[in-house]
Amino acid sequence: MWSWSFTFKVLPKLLSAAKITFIATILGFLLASILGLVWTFLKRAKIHWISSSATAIVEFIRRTPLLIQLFFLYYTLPSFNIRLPALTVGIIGLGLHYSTYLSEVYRAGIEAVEKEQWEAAKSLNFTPYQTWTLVILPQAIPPIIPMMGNYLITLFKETPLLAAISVVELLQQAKIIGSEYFQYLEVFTLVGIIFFIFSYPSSLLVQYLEIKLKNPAEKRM
Amino acid sequence: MESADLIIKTARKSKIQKKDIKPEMIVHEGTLTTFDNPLVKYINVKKNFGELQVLKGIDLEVGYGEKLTIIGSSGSGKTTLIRMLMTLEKPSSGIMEIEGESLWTMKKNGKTVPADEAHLRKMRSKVGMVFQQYNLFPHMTVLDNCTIAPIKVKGMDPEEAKEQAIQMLKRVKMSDKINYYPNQLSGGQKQRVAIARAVLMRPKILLLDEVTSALDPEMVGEVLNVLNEIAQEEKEMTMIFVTHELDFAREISDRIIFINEGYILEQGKPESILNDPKSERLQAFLSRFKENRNL
Ligand SMILES: Nc1ncnc2c1ncn2[C@@H]1O[C@H](COP(=O)(O)OP(=O)(O)O)[C@@H](O)[C@H]1O
Ligand SMILES: [Mg+2]
Repeated sequence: MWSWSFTFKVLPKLLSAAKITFIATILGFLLASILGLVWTFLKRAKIHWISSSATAIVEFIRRTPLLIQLFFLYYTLPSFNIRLPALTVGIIGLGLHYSTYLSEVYRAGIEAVEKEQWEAAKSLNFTPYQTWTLVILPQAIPPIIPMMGNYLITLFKETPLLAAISVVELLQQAKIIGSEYFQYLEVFTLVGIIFFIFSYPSSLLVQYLEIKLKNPAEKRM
Repeated sequence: MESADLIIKTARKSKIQKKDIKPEMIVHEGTLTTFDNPLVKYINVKKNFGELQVLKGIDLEVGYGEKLTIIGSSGSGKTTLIRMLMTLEKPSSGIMEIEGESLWTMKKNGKTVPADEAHLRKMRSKVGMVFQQYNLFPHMTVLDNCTIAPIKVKGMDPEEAKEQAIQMLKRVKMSDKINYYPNQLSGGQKQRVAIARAVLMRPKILLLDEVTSALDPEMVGEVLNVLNEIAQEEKEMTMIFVTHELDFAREISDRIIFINEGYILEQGKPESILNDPKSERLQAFLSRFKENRNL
């Protein structure tokens, strides 16, 4: 049943589709990381209507399926005269959805910084911006890197959803090849293996970081 | 019924009023408590945390270069009193001034309005603080802890900041550890770095809140020695100490104030306050210390 010659024939095509998967993963996660931080700040805003609307928006995005959000963006943006390539829409969708999770991660990291650190910063007359960039975030981010890594892996595994809005990523390419040759076993197996090859070592790396970052003293020795 | 209620209410009211009467402040002979040109001034400053009234009416002036020590039992409001000057806590009422300028209000178009962040930053630049728990930045080396604020806040040239920091770290006997991180230091070492970090900002007023209370006993001496030297050398820097180290207070202070139940109850020169306390409260407070020392 399994044909090795067919396997080697389709592998290059699948690998080039994997590139799209990686682009979507990296850019989607980058967007999620930045936007997540923005949500965190908006939710902490002193002006009530800003913080409460940010909270509401974040909750809404987080509590609805990513697939619906992708469809929504893909089919409604053109009616606002915003015409973007499917991949771009996909990246925006992934970034937006995961930003809501990352926002929670940032919040946890920020709250774990001792309140005395804020007071020390004040006693040295740092501006609010300096307090964030020099004192709070450098302490808040390292401990949450493993958690962020987990979301990166999860996001990676969700990229096949982009097939639904016609992005030719790994899964979509496999489907196209499969239906072309009426041979599915090899292509879908390969897709699974490619995903595994990247997600498993990443999860080991995350575990390693988790242990390493737990004890900052060791890191600094 | 009604009249009984009324009696109870009146009784309660009078009780509260009685409690709120400001006690006569005892000033020992020859003590300077007012200044032509005070650096710091508290006028009838009150502070509550919810229901709890911690400070009930503080009147205090501090002179330029003065070394002032605040004593009082735990929970009497010493920390709150100085935290307000660092703008870490806002008074519930009253006026606070630094160099004749109001800390919590400012003039805008001829009107007095609550201070904005810019005004607070300007005022804050005159004040520095050393905390009981050191509060060093754990992600920075000793040297970076000492140079970051001069460079970023005062805009000092990094080389110049580094040079000054090394000089200062020599004074607190930490110059051999400039590349260490705080978690590689003992409590006493951390506190000496924290002192260096605060002094390097050259504040007009340096606040020190029980800086030896969190230390193991064998480290208290090294920190007090360093502080003693700095207090002697920095003649122009006003320093306000909160401490239970009475021998230290006797040696370095120009004046000691005793806080009790939300008021300054007694103040005077160190010798006089410590050897000849007038109020029963201060006598009791001091005798508790003598007992502890004899243990
Ligand atoms: N942020 C706060 N919220 C509520 N109560 C506080 C707060 N800070 C201090 N207190 C209370 O105020 C009182 C005085 O505290 P503090 O100024 O720390 O006293 P001291 O330094 O003399 O021991 C204490 O009863 C303390 O529990
Ligand atoms: Mg205290």
